Amino acid sequence: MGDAARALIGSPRTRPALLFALALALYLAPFAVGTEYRLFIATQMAAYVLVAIGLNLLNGYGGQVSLGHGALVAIGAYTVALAMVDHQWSFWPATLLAMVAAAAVGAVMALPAFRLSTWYFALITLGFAEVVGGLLTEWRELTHGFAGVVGIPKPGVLGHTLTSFDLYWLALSLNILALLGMANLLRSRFGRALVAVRDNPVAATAAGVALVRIKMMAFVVSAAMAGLAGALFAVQKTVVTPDDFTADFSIFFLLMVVLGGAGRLWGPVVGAVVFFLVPELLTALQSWRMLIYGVALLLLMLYAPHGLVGAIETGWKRLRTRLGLSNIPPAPSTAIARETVHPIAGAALSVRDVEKRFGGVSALAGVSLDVAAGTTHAIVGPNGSGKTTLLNMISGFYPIDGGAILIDGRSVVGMAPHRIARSGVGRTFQTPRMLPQLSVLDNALLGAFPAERQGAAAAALSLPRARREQMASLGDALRYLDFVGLADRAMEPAGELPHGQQRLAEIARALVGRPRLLLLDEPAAGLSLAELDRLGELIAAIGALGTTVVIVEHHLELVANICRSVTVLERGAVLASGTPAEVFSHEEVIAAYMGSHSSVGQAAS
Amino acid sequence: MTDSKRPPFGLRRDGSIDRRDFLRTAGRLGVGAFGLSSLGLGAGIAQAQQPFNIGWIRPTTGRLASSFSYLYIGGLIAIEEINAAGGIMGRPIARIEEDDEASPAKEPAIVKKLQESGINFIAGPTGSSQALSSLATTTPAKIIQATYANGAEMGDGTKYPYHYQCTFNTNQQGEIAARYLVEKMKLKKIGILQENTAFGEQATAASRATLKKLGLEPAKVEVYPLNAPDLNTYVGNLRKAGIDGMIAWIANVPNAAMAFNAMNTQKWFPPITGHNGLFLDALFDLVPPEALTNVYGTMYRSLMWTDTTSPGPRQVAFAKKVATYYPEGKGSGVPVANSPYYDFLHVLKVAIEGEKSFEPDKVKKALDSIKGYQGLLGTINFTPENHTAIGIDDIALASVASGKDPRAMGIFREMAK
Amino acid sequence: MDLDLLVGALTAGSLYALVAMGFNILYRPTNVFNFAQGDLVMLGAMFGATFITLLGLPWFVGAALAMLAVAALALVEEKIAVAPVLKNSASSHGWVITTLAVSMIFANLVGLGWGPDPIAVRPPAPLSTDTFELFGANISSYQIAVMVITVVLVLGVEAFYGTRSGKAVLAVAEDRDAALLRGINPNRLSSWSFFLGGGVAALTGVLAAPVLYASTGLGPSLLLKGFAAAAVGGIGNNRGALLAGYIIGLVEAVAAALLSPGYQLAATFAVMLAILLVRPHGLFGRAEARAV
Repeated sequence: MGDAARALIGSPRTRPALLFALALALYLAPFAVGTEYRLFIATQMAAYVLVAIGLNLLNGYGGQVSLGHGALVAIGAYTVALAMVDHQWSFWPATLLAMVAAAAVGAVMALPAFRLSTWYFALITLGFAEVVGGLLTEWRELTHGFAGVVGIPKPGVLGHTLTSFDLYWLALSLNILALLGMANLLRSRFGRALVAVRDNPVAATAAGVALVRIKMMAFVVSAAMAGLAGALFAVQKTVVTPDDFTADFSIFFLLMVVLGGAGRLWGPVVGAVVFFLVPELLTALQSWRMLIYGVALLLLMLYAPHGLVGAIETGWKRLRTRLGLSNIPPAPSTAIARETVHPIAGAALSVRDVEKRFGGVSALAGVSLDVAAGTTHAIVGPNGSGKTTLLNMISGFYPIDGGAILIDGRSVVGMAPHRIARSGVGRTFQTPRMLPQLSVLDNALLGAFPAERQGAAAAALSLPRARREQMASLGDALRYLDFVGLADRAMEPAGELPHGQQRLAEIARALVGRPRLLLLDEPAAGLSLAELDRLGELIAAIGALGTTVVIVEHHLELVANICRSVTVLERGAVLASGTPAEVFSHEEVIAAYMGSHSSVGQAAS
Repeated sequence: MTDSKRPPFGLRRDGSIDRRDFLRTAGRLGVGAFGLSSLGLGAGIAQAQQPFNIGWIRPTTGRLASSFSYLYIGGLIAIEEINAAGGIMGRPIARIEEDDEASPAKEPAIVKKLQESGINFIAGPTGSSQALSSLATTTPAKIIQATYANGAEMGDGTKYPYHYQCTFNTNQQGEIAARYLVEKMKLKKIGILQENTAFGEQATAASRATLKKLGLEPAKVEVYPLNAPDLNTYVGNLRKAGIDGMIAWIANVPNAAMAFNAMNTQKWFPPITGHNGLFLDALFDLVPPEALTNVYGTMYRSLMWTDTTSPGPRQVAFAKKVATYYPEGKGSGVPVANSPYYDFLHVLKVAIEGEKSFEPDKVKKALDSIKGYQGLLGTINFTPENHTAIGIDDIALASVASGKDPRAMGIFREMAK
Repeated sequence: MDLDLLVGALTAGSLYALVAMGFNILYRPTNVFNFAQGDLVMLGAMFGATFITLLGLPWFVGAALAMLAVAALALVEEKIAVAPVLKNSASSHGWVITTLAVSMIFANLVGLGWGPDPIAVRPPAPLSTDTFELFGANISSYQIAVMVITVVLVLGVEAFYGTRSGKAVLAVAEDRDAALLRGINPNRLSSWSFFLGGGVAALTGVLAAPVLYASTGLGPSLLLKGFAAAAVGGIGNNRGALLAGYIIGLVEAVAAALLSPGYQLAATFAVMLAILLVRPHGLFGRAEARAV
């Protein structure tokens, strides 16, 4: 019995089989229990599920709160209604137009998001929805004002008018396609980039992700889905009025997403079903219905803070643990992962008289340094001497106030940080910037973002070209995880790794981007002695690949062991530079370090 | 009428609801719903005294639930009267209640649900968007329906052949309000203050058309959003335009109070004609009396008294029933009386019993040929083309201030002189 | 335009600022936007109307009781809908749902307690809504009182944030766990903030009642404009909320005089958007510390 359960639950084939059975049941259900009313409710629910799936991409994965999705549905619905009623279009091109219109409006709505943070942006989307609502009545010539659009015909295919059964199957198929597409998209570089934008925009930028473009992609995709849902809504209801699209209507979608489980593929589906069906089931309670519903919602959120799907996942994991099954999925086996790492052509770095002021305080006052291609260089100095600031300027995170930075002779001044990253500059941070909920492997794969070429559509459709590219990235990621010694922990959530290993994983992520210049910010901080030795070997190995490495480090022994040259900063200026031996015997350097790091003498000797 | 999102009718002055009464009502509704659904399942078994099921669409949840509930009192009284007199062809009327949450998006599903439980007659929903949305489903399903929506197209028998508008329509209302100012009061500079709703828009269009027939253009039209924090600016614009008479298309009490208080602030009291939503006792508490002396609303002649006439026995009996059995309707007698459902159910009985059939198409035919039926709201006439029950001769203006007169009995008003 | 417009704009703006301040007080230590805030304002108006108009209590007693009642309700909300969510995870967005659920519960409960009738609330003597002319504008003593009370409240609350307890609130806002280490009890502060925020919401409702009338439909429109004022002013910043309230009131009033309703909305939105694009963290808001 226990063994059978374990076999069933443990089998990787259980889930697809269950889902297939579910889909089949849903397709066949109308024959058994299909009444007009039930089909109507089911179709309407399917339309809402489409909106929620799209909103989940934006809100659950991308972390952008939109309180204006109802307006996008309205645009889709009105586009279809007006095209079909006033201009006798057929449903299919009208739907395409609805998606384009909603996507275009969604793109406009997204623009302020690039300047505004979450709740300010939420307000803008809410206001935007209000304005769209206002214009639906104001722009009478186009929208028929308050009267709305009536007599929207049912869609037809080759002279056959779709029945309510057909409409249900259409909506169901669209839901399944949307889920499949979404699953593909989320598994691709876009999914990881979105989560990175949500959880750690700095890490995303350092990996070469353009935040603006990713957010825009999420917005446009989710708006197009809202437009599609609006099209279904219109032909199903056969009449649209401005009163259909209230502020509550928009908030209702957010509610579905969070209730079901934001950032979980099935969250919006479960959320919509519960949100829709429970009030229907409570009909007999009359005026107490919404009250009881409110209380139920409250309790549910308290006991299932990650939504219903979150709760199911937790329960599922507990069940697996009890059955002695691991909750860590098996690592993908790809033969190429064992291949050796290809050499990289390092880039030369030249920093000329760089200046940086914060407010009136000068952080860097004319710093210059040169790092030859393929060498390892250290920047040392006391706290507050400007080391990290310099790294932030090389990688473009801080704008420069004066001077020049050249990588392989090309100026990077004024370039956006993700562009600098894309030109071959990888970096790590003092505290590792991981995406704690994603696996170590996914974290590493984020580094492959700029190298891949596939678009969102190719990723969602999982075209062979996109799949090949994804396999190649996977190979790279596994190879570099192996390189840093984390191959056996690849499938664990990154947040559960100890600090030192997170650091290594971050280095692996930078390496997956195959940087020609790698900036490491205090990689040794907080490492144990054994880990420190391994780090030294690792950096030496990275140097051996050909990559130019610039390392900010306090640990002078490590520096002395692995670096060809050293620059010492003090109060934003270069105190000394040269080989480790030269620099660490420099009197002023010893003076600057005296008392704080007695290891200077040993390192220099 | 009620196109606004706010409660269109302030109803009770005294805050709390009588608990016992509330429980009694809740019990009655609950029992009705449960009892009937079980009966519905058993349909076909008991043939003889099987109840005659009528769909009853109204919001029982949401912010509009309590304000809309008063509009169905007339229907409840009609059912009691009809059932006490032996029902329709011996079958007692039973309500199958559905909650539309006052949301147009809910209507199609609700109608389909009622349709599937074998219902061919529906009272409700209330509100023009809601009505429009439900008609899209009831019309092809050939369900005979009365909604509470006053738009003129709702009474178009060619467009909505199964819908019966058992009220006046907005066009008639717009015409009456304009004619009074121009013909009776001999005013020339007419301004319009309009809420930004479907009702406001239609009523203004109707008033404009009437003014045009009389050779006038409105001197100024001001449209305000429902959530305006005050109406001073709009009223001020009308005053500055130098109007000497105002048509006010305002359907909810807070907005009406804001408008009259703005006039009071500006010490400017032009004669005003407007919506029947102005006949709410709540206004008397919110607005000083001098601001209401010159205010007239459109209403049914059958519910008015003059120096020489008074309302008929049917109307008086109705007023007494409301006062006795529905104390919660106190203070909102006019909306209770002006609702279409009382007359709809009575006319339906006449049609069904005349035709001796519950077959919708036969009933429709009978309804289409109803002539001269003396209803609560006036003389009801239908033709296959015209489904607006009340003719313009049965509509007049009544004084808002007369609501304080004991002769009002809650639901009557004095005709404007 | 004339000065009467300005009077209306400042009165409405003051009310928006008060709603925003209620938002801010709750937001500061919890980082939670209370979606039920509009309902709290509405409940304040309804309780005020019940105590003052229906039960005939003196204005100040009625207002105080209404504030106490709503503050208690807000505290209950905090206990059942906010604290448990924050305990689970300080960064979770679960409160979106729980505060919406509370709003749903309130909205469905008021219908049981009160009819849809708006109830008149008279201003306390000697104040009155009758207008007189002041510097060429028609203004009532009540409008003046609303404006003055708003300014005093804003300054008072801001002064509080300068005190030791106030700084504790700010510390919790910045980092709940770090504040805990410094001996501040964030849970108690959250409770207090909801209690106070509820009180301010109730006062807003009571103050709005003579102008907007106490009705169960009062909440939603004030919620939206209050949210706008809070954001435009810089979330958490009450002086910003005051200025933003005035700006929104003014734009709305000018638009009302010149534009049809659909474009009034659009105009208000455009001004809001323009301000936020120039100052992405609101008028007085500060950008959070740099992430790198």
